[in-house]
Amino acid sequence: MTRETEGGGGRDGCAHMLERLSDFHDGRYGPGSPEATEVEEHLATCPRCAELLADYRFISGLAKCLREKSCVPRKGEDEFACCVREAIRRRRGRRFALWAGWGLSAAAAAAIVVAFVLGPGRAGPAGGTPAPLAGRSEGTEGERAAALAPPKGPAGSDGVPVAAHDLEAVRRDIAAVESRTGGRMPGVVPVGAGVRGETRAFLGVYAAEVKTAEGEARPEGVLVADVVAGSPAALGGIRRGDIILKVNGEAVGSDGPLRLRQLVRRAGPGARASVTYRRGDETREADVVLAGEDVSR
Amino acid sequence: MKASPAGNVKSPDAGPESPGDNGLAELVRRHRSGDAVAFDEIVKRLTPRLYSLALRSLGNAEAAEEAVQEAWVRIYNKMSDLHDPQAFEGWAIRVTLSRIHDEYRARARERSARRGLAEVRAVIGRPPERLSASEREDLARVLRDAVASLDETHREVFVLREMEGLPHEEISRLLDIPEGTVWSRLSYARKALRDYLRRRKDDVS
Repeated sequence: MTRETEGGGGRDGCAHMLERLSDFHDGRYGPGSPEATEVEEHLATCPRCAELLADYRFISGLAKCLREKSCVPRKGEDEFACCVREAIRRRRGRRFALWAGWGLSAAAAAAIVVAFVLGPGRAGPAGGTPAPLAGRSEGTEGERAAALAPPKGPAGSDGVPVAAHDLEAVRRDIAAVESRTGGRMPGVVPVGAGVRGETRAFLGVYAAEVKTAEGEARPEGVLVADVVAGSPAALGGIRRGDIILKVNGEAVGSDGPLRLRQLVRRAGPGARASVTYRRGDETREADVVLAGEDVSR
Repeated sequence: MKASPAGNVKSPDAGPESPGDNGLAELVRRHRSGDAVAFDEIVKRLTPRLYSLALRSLGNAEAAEEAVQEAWVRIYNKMSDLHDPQAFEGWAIRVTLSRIHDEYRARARERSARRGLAEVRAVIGRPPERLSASEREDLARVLRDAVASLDETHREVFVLREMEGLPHEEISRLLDIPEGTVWSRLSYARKALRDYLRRRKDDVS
């Protein structure tokens, strides 16, 4: 800012011109307008006002210089929304099962998982209800809203209807079916992969197919519907809503959870594995050590 | 512009959905109707703008994320206070600016009030664009202190105009105040900031 001018009154400029000067600085008056002419003529004869205007320009210049080029949170939009959700939940002190599939398609994916459980031999998802699009942001607002809306939930394994967005209920269903089938669940990789009676490689994700709108090609990867707390996947930073693309460089492809199970199984319990996954628009890699789970049932 | 019964002045050209509200009004209505994912979409759409405000005001990414996250909690909990969904964006910005200010004051207690004044004295007078990155950062701290010293009504318009670069008509829409009020508050804010910075400069011995 310019130095203070001595004599002839204070540093503040002429009171009647204060607002005019701010407006003039901010481009309110067009060139040659009566107001602009009045200000310019005054500035030519009043050093205090000229100094004030120079200070305004300095302040604006400083504020402009400080504008960051990129102002997006370090976390991706999905992760940030997840953090907001958790913060609201903590404050409210109760779980919001209604939000379990919020924006991440996990609830609808879980519904698809349940559909697999209830329909042995079925290769496709339940019904014709469009499933949420994990990681996709294109489409019209209506399409995206429809895709994000939780589909009607199928009945659970015990016959009680399961809310599509109630992940906890779905997980209980999965566990119930697992106990009957010895862990073999086509289309689902709940806690690991392997055969009953063996020590099986354990990654720790509930995986489901990434669904798309009808008629579109199946995308690569599997959707992480949930992550077992403390599992290798959790420790590696994999989260609900991520899409697993590769294991040890081998693509999961569009073959869904079955392929993931094969890749995990191939790596073997105790093996170090590199899991490539996508979160939002970012592709990441997690180095995990597959645990070994002894299945004795 | 005509005044509504509530005393708020609205543009006579604004339709049911203002062109600039980014579909937020509809999402707010859906959220209120029980749509489980509408709030998530609101968060995603508006967070970049709120984060930008926070980052420029606080100068720290971690602080900015915390402030915006806390702002969303407040927004969610006080959604019932908002009567007009069309006013959501401006209302959310105001809540966020208030939260940013709280965060700034909380962190200001951790900082030395006089740090950087010697550097400020050395650089004041040089065009900001000619300053080095560290000199700009020193001045940034001082400017943020100055902005924090403003009262809320003047701080809002200064931040949106000078730090966000929004045009006056958009500030008028967001804050739901007449455009003339935006101009006059800016005038007051600039004068107050100038006085603050001069006092800080003179404080250095």
